[in-house]
Amino acid sequence: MADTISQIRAAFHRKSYLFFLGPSLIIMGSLTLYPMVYGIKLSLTRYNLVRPWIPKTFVGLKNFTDFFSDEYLVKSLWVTFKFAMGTVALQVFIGLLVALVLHQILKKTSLLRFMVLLPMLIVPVVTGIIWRLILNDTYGVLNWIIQWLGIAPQLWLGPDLALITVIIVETWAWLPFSILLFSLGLSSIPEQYYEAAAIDGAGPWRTFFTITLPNLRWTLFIVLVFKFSDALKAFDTIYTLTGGGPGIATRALALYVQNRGFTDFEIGYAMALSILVLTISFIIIGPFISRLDKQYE
Amino acid sequence: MAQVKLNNVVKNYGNVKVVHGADLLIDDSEFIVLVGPSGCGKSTILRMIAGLETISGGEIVIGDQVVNRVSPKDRNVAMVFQNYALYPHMTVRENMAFGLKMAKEPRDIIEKKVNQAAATLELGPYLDRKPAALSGGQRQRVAMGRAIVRQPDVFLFDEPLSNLDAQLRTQMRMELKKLHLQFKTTTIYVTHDQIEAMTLADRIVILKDGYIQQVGSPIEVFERPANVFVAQFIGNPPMNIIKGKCTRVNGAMTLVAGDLSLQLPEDKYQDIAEGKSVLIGIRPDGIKVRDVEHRIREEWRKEATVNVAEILGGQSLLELNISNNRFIAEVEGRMKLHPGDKVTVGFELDRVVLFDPETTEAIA
Ligand SMILES: Nc1ncnc2c1ncn2[C@@H]1O[C@H](COP(=O)(O)OP(=O)(O)OP(=O)(O)O)[C@@H](O)[C@H]1O
Ligand SMILES: [Mg+2]
Repeated sequence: MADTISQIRAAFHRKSYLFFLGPSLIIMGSLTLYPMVYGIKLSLTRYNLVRPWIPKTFVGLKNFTDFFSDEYLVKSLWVTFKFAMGTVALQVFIGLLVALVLHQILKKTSLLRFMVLLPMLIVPVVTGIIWRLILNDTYGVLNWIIQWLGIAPQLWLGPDLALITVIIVETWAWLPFSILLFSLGLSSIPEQYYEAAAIDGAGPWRTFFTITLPNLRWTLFIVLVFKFSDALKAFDTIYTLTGGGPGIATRALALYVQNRGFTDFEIGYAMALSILVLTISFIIIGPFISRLDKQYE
Repeated sequence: MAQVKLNNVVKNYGNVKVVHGADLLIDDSEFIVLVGPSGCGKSTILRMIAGLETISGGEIVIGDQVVNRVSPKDRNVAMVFQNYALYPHMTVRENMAFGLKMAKEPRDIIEKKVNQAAATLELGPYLDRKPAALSGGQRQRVAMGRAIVRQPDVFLFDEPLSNLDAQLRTQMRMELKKLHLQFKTTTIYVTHDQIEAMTLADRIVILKDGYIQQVGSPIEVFERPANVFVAQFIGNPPMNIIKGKCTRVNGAMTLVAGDLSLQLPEDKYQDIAEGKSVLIGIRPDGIKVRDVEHRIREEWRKEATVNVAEILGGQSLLELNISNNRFIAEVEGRMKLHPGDKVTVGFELDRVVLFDPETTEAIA
């Protein structure tokens, strides 16, 4: 009896890694690996959904070489670049600032911290819709407020301001994420470092740069990785706010992919574009990830 | 170097009072150890001296300056923390130099001081390493180095050795003692390890629940504890405390506890009211089992039965039944005694301490 149990236990033990890995392998395989392989296959074909009489044909790397003559792609890249820079910079700076202030005034109270996190609980699409109402040039509350302050109403989603507005709304929606991470990072710094620094005579700036910032390195990396990859794929906020417009003023990569795929129904080309997005993500984020491994050397 | 004075120092956290009017005068270059059970306010007192905690009442004087409103950096104190609090991204050298750099000392002086401290602490080979690449003992030394280079008026230590293993702790304890002999800086040292307290301190401050119980040299607090708490906190195993009475037997002041009666020495406790209840305190090493006849006055020898015998190597602990009273005795050597054995024991009654059972204070 005891023998059987220990045998079962041993057998289980040898293969137990399969038991634990199994579910995630299956999920990863069916939700990530298969679509990716299928996507790569599609990206090598010409496949137009509105002309089903033209068969799906293998075109090799043509979709990829077409990138070089696609001026809209360049414009989208440029929009995405500005969008990524804007949102990442704002979220890191404001996020860190708010986290520092919260940390100073709250220490242990978490109610305010929770309230700051609320925007993140709102579904991005809803965020977009709410902000569209706020920003509306004729009946939006924002124009009402600035008029009340004696400033001329603005076309927030017009050609001049749309990208900036989109960046600000995206920042607003996701700021809680960076605040949360920075707050956690801050509360994980042992108080004694600050006490040692106080006795050593370091002022607030000095303390920030010699204790807070170096100890937040890791958090900073994480925030950068997440925010850059989010920015590269940014879709929902922009889509609901401007739909990429006016014109193509806010048509970031993901929206361009969506346009080519589901407005023009050029599935093959859209797939190739998606792979481009993926590649760019890897190029930008890869170095961060490899730094993460080395952090405590 | 400086004197440190605590005048009726109080600390409240909201409504909770954790230090109740502490008075303490620490002499220049004295080594003071604060001991007491967990939560008694040792760290709080130390941190108030360092300036890391506000002072709710009373005043703290360092040198001749009242420091209640002086920021930590201007108190010229250095503190060593329990977990060392070395700046993790700085090398050992940078860690030690940081305070001097903040004080805007010239570079060559900083360099010289750091090298000197590194030599004293044998840290030379590690100067360019980060703390993560050091052993616990080495980190401890760096933390000490960081304190030494600043040549502060006062060293503050909060359980600096408690993260080290027993062997290293003993070694570092010796080194600390040596450093103090060398630098003679006023030192305030918090620990709950009473061996550290006994070996390091010029004077020990024993705290309980935010009240100072006794201040005295290690021998004083060991031999003449101010109350039952101190008697049992200092010393391991703790002092034997048994209930008894003082009566005169044939004109001699005598302690009676159950069937045990012991004549008090002629120079002690002679003016206690007859019939008064007392708590009788006798240190385990004040009960002799070997060579009793040579050492102990005849009236102080008694018959005892061994309940339990524990051999600890150099010493043995005996639980004895002496005239229906239970005593722990600490005796030298390996005694081949077994439960049930009968032995003659001798009380070093000139070392007895009596306490008032109501107040638990020692009777003068
Ligand atoms: N920030 C705080 N708020 C409320 N109470 C506190 C605070 N810090 C400490 N205390 C209380 O003050 C008392 C003394 O704490 P302190 O840290 O000085 O104890 P200690 O003697 O150093 O104990 P230990 O040996 O465990 O370090 C404790 O009862 C503790 O709960
Ligand atoms: Mg403590």
